[in-house]
Amino acid sequence: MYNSRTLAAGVFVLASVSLAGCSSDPAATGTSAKPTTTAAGDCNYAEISVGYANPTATNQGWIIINQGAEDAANKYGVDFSSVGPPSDGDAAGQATVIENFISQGVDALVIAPVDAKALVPSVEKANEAGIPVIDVDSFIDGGEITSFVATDNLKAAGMQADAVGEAIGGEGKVVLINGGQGFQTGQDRRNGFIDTMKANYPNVEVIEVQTEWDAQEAQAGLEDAIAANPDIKAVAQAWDGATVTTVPTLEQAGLLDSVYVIGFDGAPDAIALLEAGKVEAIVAQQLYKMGYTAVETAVQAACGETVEERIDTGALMLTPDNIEEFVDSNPPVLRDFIDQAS
Amino acid sequence: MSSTIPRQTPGRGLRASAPGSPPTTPGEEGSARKRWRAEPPDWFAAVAGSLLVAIALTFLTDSFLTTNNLTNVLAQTAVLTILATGQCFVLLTAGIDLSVSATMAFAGTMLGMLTVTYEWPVLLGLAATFASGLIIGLINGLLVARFALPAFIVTLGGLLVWRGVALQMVGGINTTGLPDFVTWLGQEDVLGVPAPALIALAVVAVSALVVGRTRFGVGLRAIGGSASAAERSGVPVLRYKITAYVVCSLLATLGGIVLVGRLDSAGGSLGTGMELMVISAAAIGGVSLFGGSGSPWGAFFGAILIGMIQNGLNLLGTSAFVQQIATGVILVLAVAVDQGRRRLARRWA
Amino acid sequence: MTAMKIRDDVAVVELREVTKRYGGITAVDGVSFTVPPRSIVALVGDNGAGKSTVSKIIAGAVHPEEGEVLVNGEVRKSIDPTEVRRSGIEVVYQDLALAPNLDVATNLFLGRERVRALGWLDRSGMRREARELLSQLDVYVPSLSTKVERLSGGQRQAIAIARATHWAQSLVVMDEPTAALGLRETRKVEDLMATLRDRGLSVLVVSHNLDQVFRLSDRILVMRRGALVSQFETAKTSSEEVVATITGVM
Repeated sequence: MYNSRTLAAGVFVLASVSLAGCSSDPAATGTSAKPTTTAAGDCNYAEISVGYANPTATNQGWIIINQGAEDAANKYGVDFSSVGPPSDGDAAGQATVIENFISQGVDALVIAPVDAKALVPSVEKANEAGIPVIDVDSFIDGGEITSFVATDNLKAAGMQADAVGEAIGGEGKVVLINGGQGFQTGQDRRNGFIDTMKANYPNVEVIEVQTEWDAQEAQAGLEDAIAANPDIKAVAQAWDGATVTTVPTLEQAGLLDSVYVIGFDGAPDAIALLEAGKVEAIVAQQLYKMGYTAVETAVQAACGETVEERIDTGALMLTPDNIEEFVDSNPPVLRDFIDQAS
Repeated sequence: MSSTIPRQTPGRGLRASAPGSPPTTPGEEGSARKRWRAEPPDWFAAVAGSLLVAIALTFLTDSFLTTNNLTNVLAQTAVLTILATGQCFVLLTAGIDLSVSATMAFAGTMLGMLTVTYEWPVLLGLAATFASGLIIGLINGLLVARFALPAFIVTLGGLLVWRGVALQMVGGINTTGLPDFVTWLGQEDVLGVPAPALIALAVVAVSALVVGRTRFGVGLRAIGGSASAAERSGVPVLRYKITAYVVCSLLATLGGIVLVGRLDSAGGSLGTGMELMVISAAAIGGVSLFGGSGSPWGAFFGAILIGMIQNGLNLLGTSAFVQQIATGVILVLAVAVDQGRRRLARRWA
Repeated sequence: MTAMKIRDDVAVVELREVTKRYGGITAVDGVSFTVPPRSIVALVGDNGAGKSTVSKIIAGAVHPEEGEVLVNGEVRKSIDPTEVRRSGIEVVYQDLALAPNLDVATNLFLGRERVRALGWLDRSGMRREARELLSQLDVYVPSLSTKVERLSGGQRQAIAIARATHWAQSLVVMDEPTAALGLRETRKVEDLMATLRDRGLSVLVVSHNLDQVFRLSDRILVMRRGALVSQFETAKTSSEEVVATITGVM
């Protein structure tokens, strides 16, 4: 069974895996001693090290978040290391990354978890080592979290529902394309939309499409929903991966002009479609702010300051009117991404 | 004991056949129907299953049996069909290609990057995309056929590598607004039939001809049955195996182009996890995972069956989890039915 | 089948001082002999004598370190299977080299399918040819579409030999063709071997079965420990003499 050929193949696979997964980051070589704080606010930032376990470096939304994180680190001049798991969604890999940070003795941890439950032991380990933990974007279901920095998905989805309700005059059929319901994010975006719709626009009928965050599933689901309900008036997406594929589907059905399309996230390719007038609105997360705030909070926590336990970085309703302003208020890399995407 | 055994004069006395008329090999077996009864074709289970599912869905929901919905299903399954057909070539040789969805993602991402971000002319972009698919196929083929690395491992590595490369290439940015030609391929209707479905059908038809009626096709099946027998009989095993992997990757590339045209979105997350569906479709269609038997029509009907189940569950509003469970159950059922068919055929022969 | 002139004046195959070593073992040691046209030559010897290796050398599966192999009077240079086949030599391997999942007709033409224009298989033509071949050789199978894995051992052997018969133009090499067969099937196969000679071909058969050797062969080559120790005209020797030569008593 084990011969040189299998061994060679195994090495090939291992090499590929490590090449494919490593995300770039400025290596944190020297470890710092604990920061000397004489009083709150009197922190020596140069001696602080922050470890950021990101979920992926190759998803367009996360690139912006990660950019915010890096910029905050640079602004404060702390020692910063951003590492992703070997492959997307690899919870065990992410746990290892965090454990490495802990043994390197970082002063604060920022974690953007790939899974709500699987990272709990890692958080508990950090708690034992006395390292403050900042949770970004998705809720970690356990352990002591110093601060949870994320969009309030329930509220944002509610904004989405209100926009739809108003746009279609309070009645009619609306398609909601959901993300995976096994994830807090997916649940919140669904519940926020449906509950708000029920409360504020009870005459609106919501037709749901279930997906596992897959664009192909979203498109097929929407097609089938249209087949069963040709008279829909709006389509709301739980993430912009679906927004982009909704446009061609509606175009093909001749419905793009009559149907109100609203996205969620603020991804560059969706923004490009908004600018082109094919999408009516996007509930955009403040991705850059999320990353920035997370690291900023981490630095504050490392310095011994008290921080808020739940920070809602908020969401903005993007429309063709304010889109330019939004892009300008973000770092230029967003404009680059939008250009690249279209 | 006699010391010598006299040598018999050749041609006399040893014939096993009796003086009466000896049994002779039957001539061209009567009709195709007779052959069918002895052994129904590989894709029988898939067709039967598809019919059953279609009938069930017609009763369960009004929206199923409409022209609109049925053409939707054809369009939705087109990409899966194209990939499954490519997989068929490799499966026939007793190989496997787990990297097809990654190759598809790579191809789609490359096309998006070249034509949208860098604004290359669409034909040039397509040529570069197909060239990259060709190279991936050559790598797979060489590693498996020439260096004799296990196909499972090589293509598993490819699965990780090519998707990673795709993501790295564009920094995770999805492109949208692909050239008209590409979106035409993905979205247009030709005489009421979606273009992707026509492309898929053409791919299946041509592949079925190649597999069934050329020396290459015979060679592939021989390699799957016994590579050493094939080699000693003069089948160019190395060349054919590499070609099979190249065809598989090229079809994955084509699938990627069609998919990107349909979604009008290209990025490294294209079709994540689809390789399992592809292999399921082929297996459901009666393409043996052990090599040596199966036909592209099987891949076609297997994909249709999977697509109909997903479509039905969508129309009925069930969760994505149920779809996953249903497809898995169907896969096991289909393979069981296929095994049963083979055993019955053996008993009747 | 392109006609290849069977020359009566030149040995079909000749080995000159052929030697083959595997590591420290000399499997074939300076062996020289000829296989005349229209003859059945039997290669006998105890286990490990080198008979299989010799037959593999002639079949082109193994390359000797020293010596020459001549086919129809010409020294053979390369040993790829296509070249071997082009020189008119066919091999019936011990494991038959049939694709079990393919049917009889397909196996008969495996690697040499008849094609029409554009590369389409000439299936009806091949079936016709196959039917004719099998009827000529008096070989029975339930149907040309039967998959080879469903045939009995004897039937499979017969198909393998029929294939060699159809394509051979000078020599057929067989390694223990009836070792695993029952009595009736053995007789059938021996018939086929005799038919080959009737058609003007030669047969080199490696065999443990001395009865068979004496029934069929014109010449017997005895090997012992890699060397060719004796050659006999079958008609002029006895089984005791051959046995004694094999074991080395004589």
